[in-house]
Amino acid sequence: MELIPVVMAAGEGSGMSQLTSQCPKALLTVGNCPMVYYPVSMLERHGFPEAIVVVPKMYEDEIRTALTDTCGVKMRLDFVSVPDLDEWGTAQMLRHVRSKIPESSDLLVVGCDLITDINLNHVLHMFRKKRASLVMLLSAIKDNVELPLPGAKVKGQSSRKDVIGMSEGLDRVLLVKTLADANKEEVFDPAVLTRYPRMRVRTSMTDCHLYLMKRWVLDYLAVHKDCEKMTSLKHDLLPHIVKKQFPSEARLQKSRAAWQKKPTDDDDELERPKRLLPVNKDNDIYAFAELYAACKVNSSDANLALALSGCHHRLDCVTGGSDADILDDEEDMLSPPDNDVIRCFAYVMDSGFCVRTNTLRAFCEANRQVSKVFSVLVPSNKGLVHPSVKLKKSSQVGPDCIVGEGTSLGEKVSVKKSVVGRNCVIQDKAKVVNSIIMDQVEIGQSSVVMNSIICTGALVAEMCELKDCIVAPSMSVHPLSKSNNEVISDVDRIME
Amino acid sequence: MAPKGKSKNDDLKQEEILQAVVIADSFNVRFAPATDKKPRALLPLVNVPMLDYTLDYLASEGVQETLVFCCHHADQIRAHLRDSKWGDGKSSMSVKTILSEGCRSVGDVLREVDSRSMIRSDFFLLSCDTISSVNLKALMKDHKEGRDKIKSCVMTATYMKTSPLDRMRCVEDNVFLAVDPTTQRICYYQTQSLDTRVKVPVEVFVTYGDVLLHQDLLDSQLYVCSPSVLHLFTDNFDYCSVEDFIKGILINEEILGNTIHVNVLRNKYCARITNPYMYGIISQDIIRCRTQPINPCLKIGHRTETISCRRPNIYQSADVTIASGVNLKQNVVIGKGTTIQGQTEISDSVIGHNCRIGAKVTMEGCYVWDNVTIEDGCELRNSIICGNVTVYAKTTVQPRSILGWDVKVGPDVTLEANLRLQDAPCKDEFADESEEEVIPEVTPEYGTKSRAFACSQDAGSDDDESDPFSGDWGDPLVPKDRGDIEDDDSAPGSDLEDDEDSGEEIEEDDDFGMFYSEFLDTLKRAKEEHIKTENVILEVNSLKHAYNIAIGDVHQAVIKVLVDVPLKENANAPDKALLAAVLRHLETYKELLTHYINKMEPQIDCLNSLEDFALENERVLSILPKVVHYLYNADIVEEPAIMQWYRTPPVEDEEEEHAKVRRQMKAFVTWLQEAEEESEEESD
Repeated sequence: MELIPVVMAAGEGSGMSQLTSQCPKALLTVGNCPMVYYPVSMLERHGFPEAIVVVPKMYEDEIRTALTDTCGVKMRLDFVSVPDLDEWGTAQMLRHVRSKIPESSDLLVVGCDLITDINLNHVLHMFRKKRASLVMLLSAIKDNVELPLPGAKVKGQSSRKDVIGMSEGLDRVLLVKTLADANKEEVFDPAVLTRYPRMRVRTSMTDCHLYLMKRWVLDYLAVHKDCEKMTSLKHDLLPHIVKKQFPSEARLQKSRAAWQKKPTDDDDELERPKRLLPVNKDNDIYAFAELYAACKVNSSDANLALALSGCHHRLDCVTGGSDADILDDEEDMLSPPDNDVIRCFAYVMDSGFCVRTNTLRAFCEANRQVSKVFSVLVPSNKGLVHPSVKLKKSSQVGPDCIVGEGTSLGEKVSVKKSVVGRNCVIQDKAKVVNSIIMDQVEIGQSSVVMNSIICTGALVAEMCELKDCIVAPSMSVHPLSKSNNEVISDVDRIME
Repeated sequence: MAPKGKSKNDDLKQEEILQAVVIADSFNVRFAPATDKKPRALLPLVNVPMLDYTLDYLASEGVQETLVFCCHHADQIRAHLRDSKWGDGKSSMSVKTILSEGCRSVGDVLREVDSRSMIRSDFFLLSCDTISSVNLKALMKDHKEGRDKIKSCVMTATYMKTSPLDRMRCVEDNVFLAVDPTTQRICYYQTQSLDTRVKVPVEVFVTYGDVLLHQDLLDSQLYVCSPSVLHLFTDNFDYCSVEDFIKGILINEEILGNTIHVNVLRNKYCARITNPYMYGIISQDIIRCRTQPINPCLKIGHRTETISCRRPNIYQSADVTIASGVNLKQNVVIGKGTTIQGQTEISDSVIGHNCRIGAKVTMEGCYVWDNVTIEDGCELRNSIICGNVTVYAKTTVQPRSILGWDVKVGPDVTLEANLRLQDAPCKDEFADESEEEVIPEVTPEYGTKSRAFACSQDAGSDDDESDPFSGDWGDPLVPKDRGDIEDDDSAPGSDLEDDEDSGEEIEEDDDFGMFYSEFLDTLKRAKEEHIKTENVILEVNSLKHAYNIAIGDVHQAVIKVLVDVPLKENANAPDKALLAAVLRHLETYKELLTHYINKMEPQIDCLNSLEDFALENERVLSILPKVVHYLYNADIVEEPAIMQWYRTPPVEDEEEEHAKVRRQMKAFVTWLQEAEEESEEESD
């Protein structure tokens, strides 16, 4: 395999702690499908035959069932569990799965929260054509809706913005920093500015957490001393690699002298005779990159033979279609400016659908909008409103709503711009607007639910008015309650 | 009705006349001593006074009224304009000269303009030494359109797009901009002058969301200003330059809500002669016709003669006399009435009117003004030779020199590079007038027939103190060496930013080194002058703060210093004498020790310090047990500390050293243990 996808589904969901206390982030539903289904189905859609899914140990079975049974994912999924709630960073998880990834394969890392209709071939194309060390996916799509957030108002939420600098008109990434990690002043290297005299720096883009990276990056992360303390792919590894792109000539020479002089360790060779890449922790980052490139060149003959014999699995064949031109223009990728040892690029999506559901706002937004691309993202769907839904004639369901299997709606029910889960009961004259109703929820007669999230198994009794609220799983809301901007959970009830 | 009203409005707009403010002074002495006798505006650029280019350009671009502000040598500028085509009142553009001797900066000029209320609408602001081929009407149109969209826009600044390594990029004109790509508004502005590091506050990125960082711009110093710019200058009397203004506007953006926009010129020429380096560059650009429509044949100002042109860029008037065998290599302009004799080689140079160049002269990158005599066998490189200069035979003028008006140098000397000469000594403003100095007729250091005096850079102008480039020739922009940057950027707060040697550590070490040597000196002085120990403590404490030293380091330093001082004094004494001296010294400053070394931790610091010192110095190692014994007896270090120190495992790679010290100390420690046990037994 040229590329092994790794889906990171063990995140704790700190951006929407209101919802993740009783449900892992990966299983929160968007358009009635668990979040993790979206990246997995994206990979399946693009013809990847297998993927590694990193999951928390506690929820391994639950996630497996949800993906393979409920959602009907056909591709081979290799679940790798990491200790529960250990707060492992993404970098640690990657180190953990390193042994599962064949030495000749590069890596596609994607978070469980990416919901997009992107054509991945464009990103793959860039990765190959530019011979990038790393390609990241960015979204410049602006979300214009500013609805209030459900739940209690949280003040001083740390900004999750990123500072991303790119060469103008090109796709080279020159600066990546999360705002939280950024210093007060950003100092620019004059040499980089001289090479890229126009650098576009944006904080308005979303990093989609989809990265394509060369195998050596993983090795570097795993063994090099500089990476020992790294916990996060985003916060630590990515800025580090991006920053290392422009070494001075002297620095490169020094690095080359160091690894070329070193005689190959015989014992090491014997121990791992079939090792494709010489992984040596004393090498510096440039040696990692250059040795990798050298190995690729050496083994290309072997690859060719394998390809001819049909054993070599080229992704081009799998993804099929319009990729013929990809290989034609290999010449221009060697143009001098991009001839560096380490090259980071970004693919910027500026149209289409792309939401990263890592915050409560994004989660609501994704649910509200997913109906637009439902047929593409969820190929197994049976329509926005499931055929099994029992609908009274006098009830109205808006065109951008999703209603799950087995749900029944009473008389004069109105559902607008909302997602309603499976096996819910919405009684007569109830109104649901701009809301997310999860599975097995009951909403009583004449209740009004606006801009709220009602979690699994909750009961909203009759004549309630909920606006901008979150109702925790299995909670009951008493009849005639009126709530605004509240999180209704056990704790609250006890306090009252 | 509506369309009619609109057209009326258009009529009104058309009635507005295009105005320009030309500042005919640079307010600096970058061209000294050339500007001593002539104002900057009238210095010749390819044989035409700079001001003529500017005025001609403005008139050709449809500017109707130009205000020329003169300060230095204003009379000359007035006389020049009176004699020119602008003086007869027949030209399409009216030129008004305004004399304002009190002005000391661009800011002063603009405040003056404001007070005279001569500006009616948006106007151009430029300097007398700007060479431009920009379409001004289009520029004004862009400015007005931009302001219709964004009302807060008070100024459009123009920048010329040039590669960062273009030779036009001179350090002084180098700007770094962050611009909002949709509105072209300046979000952040940094002039880089001497510090080439580019730093942008992260706030800028957050506030604007999307900015384009420009490192490809040359500051053209041509501005389209709205009248409110003048009021802003009046309100903020501390704005001296447009640079101050831009910075001020950006700082006060939130309060005043004014914005400045940029217009990036592509394929147009617009640059200012800020310094002699740029003078050379722009002269060459004119010769090479990069500045079209401006070229050396253009009939502007007083130039009426026909100039012939041949390849490679050789321009000469018809009446020039050139002997056979003269080699005009390339890019040469020769003014009328000039004669050049045989076997002379000239390249990349401009020679003024009525010059006499001798034989076998080599001239490269020189700008020779009118009535200059250069005798045989001279060699001139990369310099400016002002009018009426005589260079006697076989004289060498090295690069980056300016020979001022009427200077005579030579014969047979080699002048140093970067030389600036004038024909009279600098006047000392504070000298007693009665004591008139005798001005020598000949200045032998510049040749036997010479009459030249060094031009002191800061002479005559006390308002230039803040100009870091005062008297500097000017340098092209060269990217800073990467080496130091890579170390620097291991930014604080990110311990992952690993690598080689972090600069900070070294600094710390340096601090400690400085602290230690100061401490040592303090102690030596204290010994000599019998200063009380408590005062020494006070001094040490202030040193600690001055060098920002951690208390642990102070502990280590105290004991080391106390041993070091007698060690240095008794460098050649036998061990016994040394030991006696050390112990005596320790006894004298016991108070110092008890002040700092009081708890467990300082005691261990103290022992570690001794260990390190012992490893540095064999003699310390030999007396180490005795010193520790003394410290033990004096109750400065106690048994548990000694034992803990003794048992600390060795650091990696230092096992040998570790063992060495332990061996030396073994006897003492054994004794110590026994003694303690005994005393314990006794107490039982």
